[in-house]
Amino acid sequence: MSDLSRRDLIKMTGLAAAGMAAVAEVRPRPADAALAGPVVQLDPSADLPKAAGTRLVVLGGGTSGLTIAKYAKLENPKFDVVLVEKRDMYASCFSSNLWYADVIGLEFLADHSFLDAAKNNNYTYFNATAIGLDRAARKLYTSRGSIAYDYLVVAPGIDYDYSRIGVKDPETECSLRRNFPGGFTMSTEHVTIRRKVHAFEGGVFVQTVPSGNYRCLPAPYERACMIAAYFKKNNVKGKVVILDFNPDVTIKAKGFHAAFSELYPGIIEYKPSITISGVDPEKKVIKTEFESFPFDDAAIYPGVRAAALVEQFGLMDPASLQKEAHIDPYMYNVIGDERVYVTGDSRPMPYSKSGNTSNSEGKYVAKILSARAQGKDLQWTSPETLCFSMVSINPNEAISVDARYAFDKQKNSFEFADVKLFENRNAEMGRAALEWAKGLYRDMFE
Amino acid sequence: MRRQSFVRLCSLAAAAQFQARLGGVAAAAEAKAFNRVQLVDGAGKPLSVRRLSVQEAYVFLYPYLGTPSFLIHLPAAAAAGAGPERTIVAFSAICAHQLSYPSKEGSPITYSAENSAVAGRSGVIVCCAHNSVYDPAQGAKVVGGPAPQPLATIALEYDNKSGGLYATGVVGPDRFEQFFRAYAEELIAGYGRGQARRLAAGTAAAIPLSEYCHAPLHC
Ligand code: FES
Repeated sequence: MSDLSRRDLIKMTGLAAAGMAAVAEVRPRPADAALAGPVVQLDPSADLPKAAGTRLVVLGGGTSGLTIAKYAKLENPKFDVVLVEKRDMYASCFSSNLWYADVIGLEFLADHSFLDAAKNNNYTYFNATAIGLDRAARKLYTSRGSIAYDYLVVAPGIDYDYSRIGVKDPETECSLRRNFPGGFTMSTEHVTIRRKVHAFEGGVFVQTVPSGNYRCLPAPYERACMIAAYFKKNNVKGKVVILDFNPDVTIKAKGFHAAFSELYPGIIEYKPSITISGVDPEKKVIKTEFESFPFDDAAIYPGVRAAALVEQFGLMDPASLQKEAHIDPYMYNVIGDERVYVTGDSRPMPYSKSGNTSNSEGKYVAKILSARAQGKDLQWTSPETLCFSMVSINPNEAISVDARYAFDKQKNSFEFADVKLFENRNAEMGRAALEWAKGLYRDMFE
Repeated sequence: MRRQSFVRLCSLAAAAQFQARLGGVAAAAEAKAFNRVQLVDGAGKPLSVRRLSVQEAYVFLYPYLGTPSFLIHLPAAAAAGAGPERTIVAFSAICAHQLSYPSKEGSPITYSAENSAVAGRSGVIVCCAHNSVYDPAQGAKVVGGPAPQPLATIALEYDNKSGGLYATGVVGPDRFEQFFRAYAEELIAGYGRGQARRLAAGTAAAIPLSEYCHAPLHC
């Protein structure tokens, strides 16, 4: 490491203490002088052309990041946009439940190219993992070098919080992540869960529903329906037991209860108000203070928090129960820093953490970035949460909700507004559910 | 011929004439002249305006052979309506939100002559993909949902003498380029290579949506 970069590093480490920068851990190894040095080389800068305009770096190529990368460029062609994404293959989390019952194939979720999205919308897709952030120097450090930014959007999504189901030791957590994944973060979890469902020999399949503002409120119930539909169609002697932390189905309750009782009697068993206090992955038992629920297989959805990166980069609100970002709830910038924004499912506002919300929010954030780059102001607009839940197959039938948000001064928080519920399942919504997802893909990739 | 080069070929005089034909409502919007195409029925006979049903939209391919448009007979006169009672309007059927459109397999976007649950009213164009609602009596203005702009208007001309109805151009921002890109494979499968981007010319058949595609969605 050169003297210069060593000095930079010291400077940055000092700043990290002050909360302005966060970099990957650097450990000298005093025992062997030849091996001493940084574990991660932070410089040189990434192999990117010089910024042709105001550089906007978007970290995270999920629904939020992809939408912002595209629409920021449309709003302000002077932006030179770089999308930093660690995955080299896209697959959506939204609509993945439909794959479990073969309503769709994997192609439906994954036949979308980061390269095409970048080409069609005039930005750069940079396939790298973020490892550090220096907000004072406006530099994002990645596994492929550092990138200087004028504006940075951090949209890393969620991570799981196993402590919320009483799992505190890394052994149990690792075992759960591997053996009974939640199916709400990595695509590889969806592959695993689908195989579990298709290879199920019978018995009890548990789907848990977490507390808090977890990603995609209706999804665990929709998944239960899809798994039950698969069991029913293939005469699997299995039951889907939903262990829900909440006192009732959290959204579209009427529509889901109707599906459980009318379509899957004896297959879906719904148990509300279950506070999980631990899991024994070896014995396959979920425990509460009073009861034990043995299972044959499971998708254990623990608590949800903002992606760990938000905390590692010093962007977390220390008071946030879900470790979400410390941002202005209207303008999305990190408090005290109008150059860095946190969007999507790492936001602290209690919006639904779901695809349509991030897509509509992303268009608004693109406008904020454009306005800020031009020294202008912008009127707040609510994101829209529109989502379909497939509840049956052959024919595909769905229910849906369409809502926005408004700030409630009395409650001092954002609440649902203009809620339209469509809870009488039908085949028209079943078809609309597929078109809904296709529209999102078109919007992000074309 | 691609639209860009086609537009470039149009003389300024022709463009001015076209603008003039559109009348006051469209004056402010961007107008593009395309081929003047006579609308015919499924059997190829000139469309009789008086026999157009007011219960559902008709689909015709315009201004390209792969871009469907709606032809709607409204129950009352509309500002930019054509025909003897100014009740006939036409719009691109490609949703201005995320490009859902009527294909032979189905249509997420439809005209609801009767009540739409999503819109809470009748007489609107509703896209069931994300609940965008457009009012055809007001130039397909967005009256609900996430669409950022109205559907592009198809300029119509009514020949008083013959009773013939003609499509002549497109007014307002359209989504044709994104549409061709997003559906490149699907359009090749449906129309053959290079066909969807060909300009409509001569006549275009206007078919009721329920005949054009299998079970259009209502929501
Ligand atoms: S594509 Fe029509 S509402 Fe979204």
